[in-house]
This record gives sequence, C-alpha cells and structure tokens, in this order.
Amino acid sequence: MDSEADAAAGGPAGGDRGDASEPVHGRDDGYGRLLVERTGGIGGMLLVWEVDIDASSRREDLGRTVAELPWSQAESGAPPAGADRFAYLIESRYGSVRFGEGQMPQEWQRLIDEVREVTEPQRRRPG
Amino acid sequence: MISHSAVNIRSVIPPYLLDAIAERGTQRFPRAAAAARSCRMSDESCRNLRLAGLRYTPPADLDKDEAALAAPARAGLQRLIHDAENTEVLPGTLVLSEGEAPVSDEPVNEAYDGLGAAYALFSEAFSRDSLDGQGMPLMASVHYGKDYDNAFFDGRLMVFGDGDDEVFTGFTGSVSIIGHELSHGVISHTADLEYSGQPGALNEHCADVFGALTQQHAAGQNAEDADWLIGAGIFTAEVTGRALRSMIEPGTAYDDDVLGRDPQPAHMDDFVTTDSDNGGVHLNSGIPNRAFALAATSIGGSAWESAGQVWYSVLTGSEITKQTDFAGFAQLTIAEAADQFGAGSDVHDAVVAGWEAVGISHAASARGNQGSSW
Repeated sequence: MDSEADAAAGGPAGGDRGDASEPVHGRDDGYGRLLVERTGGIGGMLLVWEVDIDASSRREDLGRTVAELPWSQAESGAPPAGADRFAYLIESRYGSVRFGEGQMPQEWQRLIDEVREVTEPQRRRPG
Repeated sequence: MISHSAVNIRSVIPPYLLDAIAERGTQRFPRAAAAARSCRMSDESCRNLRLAGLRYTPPADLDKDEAALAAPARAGLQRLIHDAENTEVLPGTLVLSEGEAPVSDEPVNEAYDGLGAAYALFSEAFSRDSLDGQGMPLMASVHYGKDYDNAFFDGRLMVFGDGDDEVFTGFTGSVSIIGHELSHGVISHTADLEYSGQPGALNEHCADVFGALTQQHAAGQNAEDADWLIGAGIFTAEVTGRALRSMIEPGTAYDDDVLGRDPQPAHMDDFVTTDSDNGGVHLNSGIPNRAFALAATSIGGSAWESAGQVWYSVLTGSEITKQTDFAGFAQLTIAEAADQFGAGSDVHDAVVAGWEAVGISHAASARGNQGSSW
C-alpha cells in the first residue's frame, strides 16, 4: 500500500487539517483535497480518510476521477432499510455528498476504494 | 436542529462545469448501480434458500407485505445461519439450520446460539414469537466482507463481520450484539422508529436495552449484578476498553490511544447535535440507556420482569410513533410503569428517577426535542 498520510497532513496545498465537518478547500488551480468520512456502524465510530490530491503521486488519476464525478447529481435515495449500516460523507472542492452503505453508486464506491489505497484512516471523535 | 435535507450538498460550481460533468459523467459512469445492487445475491444462495423453503428478498425491494410472503411463518424458533464467505453478497451459503449439530466454524455456532438466546428472551419474557410475532425465521449471515468492523440488520437479515483483528475481533463473539441486531428486527416490526435524530437514538437505545436483557436473561442475572455493557469482548487485547458502550456509565466504555475516548453522552446537557451517524443515533442513545439502566438497577432483580416489561409494552403499544422523541418516550414509559405496576410503585418511582437523572425534564425536552413536552 502506498500510504500518503503525510501528504494528507499537509502538502503544497495542505495546511491545517481542521475539523472533519469543515468544508474541504483546494487551491484555485488544483484539485484540492478530498475527504471521506465514515460514521455509524454499531459502534458509532468516526473514521476519516483525507488526501491532498495535488500532493499525491496519483494526482492525475485521482484528480480526474474526482473532477468528473456527478457531484451535483448524486442522490442518496431513500433511507436504507434496517440499522447499524455505515454512513459516508464525501467532500471535495467540487461538492459534498452523503450515502448510506449499500446505497452508494459504483463510481463513488470506486473512489472510496481508491482513497483507501492511497491513505490510512484517522480515527476522530464523532459529533 | 439537525438538517437532514442536506443529503446532497452543492458547492459553488460554474454552470459550464456542471454541464460538462453531467454529460461526460453520465457517459463514463452509467448508472447501473441500482440494478447491480438489487442483484447482489448469488445463484447458489438462492438455491440454498429455496431448499430451505425460503426466499430472501433484498431489503431495497422489500416492503412488509413482501416480507411476510418471503419467509413463511411457522410457530417456534427457526434459525438459518449463512456464510457470506468474506464477500458482501447476502445472504451467502446456508451452513446451519434449526436443530442441526454445531459446525466447526465457531462464528456460525455463536450466531446460532446468540439468536437462540435473543429469541428466548422475547418468547419467555414477552410472549413474542420472533421478529414479527408470528414465527418469522431468524436469518443471519456471518463472515460478511473482508476485515469488516461491524454488525448490522439489513431489514431482513442479521449480518456479522469478522473484524479486522487489530481493533475488533468477530462480532458474533458478543451475545449483547447479536441480541441488539435481532432487536432491531423487532423494532422494525413494531414502533419502527425513524432512523434519524432522537427517534433514531431511541431505536438504538431499544436495541441496546433488549440486547443487554438478552445477555442477562441467558445468564439468569439480576440487574444489580449485570455489567450493562454492549459488545463486551469484541475488542482485541491491543485496545484499552471494555466494550462498545456502557449503558449505565455512557462515555466510559473505552479510552484508547487509537480509538480515543467513548463519546457517548450520559445527560441531556451533553446532547450531541450532528449530521453524521444519521444525527448521532449511536451517540445520543447513551442518554436513554442510562435512564433505563438506572431504573432497572434501582428496582433490582430480573430487569426483563420490571423495567423491561415497561419498555417492551411501550415499544409494541399503540401510542408510540415513528417520530417519538426522548421526552415523548419518557412520558410513555412513566405512564406505562404506573399502569402496570401502580402509581407510586417501586417501578414507577424508579422510571421517573431514571429519566430525571439524565435531564429528561420539561426544560431539557424544550431544548433537545423541538417542541415536545410532557
């Protein structure tokens, strides 16, 4: 695994990571940062994957994927049946979307899989 | 006020870029996900279920009428344990059915035994036959996903991951977790509390109540001797923690360098307002959890015979709604305690004191419940 946690902590466009609930901003001429937040599950724990796309060795692939995702059209659909599923928040300079686990369109699931490959999650206090 | 309308939050994007993303995104990522999700079941799994006389319907396509048709009821305990074989295909292969001998795969046996314990609680303490009260088969899947750190109820199945072996061990290792997931099934067939905000936290709370009572009932344990922990034993030895949650001391279940500190509040003063976790359903459940545990331990004896009866009657009664909040639920339980055990009885007094101890009063409800009062 090619961990880029250091880059996530502050590359050329890095700076303070800030709280998980704060909007993610990138620099004007770059892809900026990408944040994936996973909450819920029976434990209610918060995991955050955060990548500075411009500082990533996979800048072009990841950046293009993020830029081309249908941020404005993403729909989470009806609330998932049952209980204790994970809930995801994905944020970038292009927008912010929420999906329940099991409701996520494939292109968004692929993005999360890619983020997991390039950086390790951080555990943060929920709420 | 928790905003759940902001499910899809737009940022400031130039219209031309929106148009380009819409056009190229549609071409590159055809939206076949919905169809794919509805087909997330292997042919082999279908065959296994048909052999057992059952049909699994993915919850996305399930309504309650279909559910009744999907799993024909028969009186009594009927468990069907499946192996997802570390995939996310549900339900997986049927590996243990009711009455069969234990297998060599311990999580399968744990799920089977845990479901039996939870069924026994509802049957013996509350005269309830399974999730729907009509003998609905109990279906579970183990070995879900890879390193999957969770257990959940998908609207029909109880599903258990193996954990990552770094923080979590397998989720079938805790009877209270198995009872918690089965209780979500009971809740979905009764009050069906909306899984968001305070009703969602009450949904989680009730699942914790009957998960804890599953463990106590199976052990023949009095309330004052119980640990009131949910998920005891599922952390690896590397983690400094006792369980996922403590019902009687919310916020104290773990305090670990990696996991951080248990974030559950124990009082309305610390109510968490958040959009995450469906409005903090796994956080704020700590508040009613403590009210119940305090009431039960104050009463003493078998909690399923006292406070548990009150909670079950409210959950299955006609006055609770999908949107009932903390204050409304407190009001219902206090009234039910008076009806069942008498006004001024030990049970009634303990339930009143339990809610007061966590700040569920007129003032607290006005702040946290948006207009509900009692």
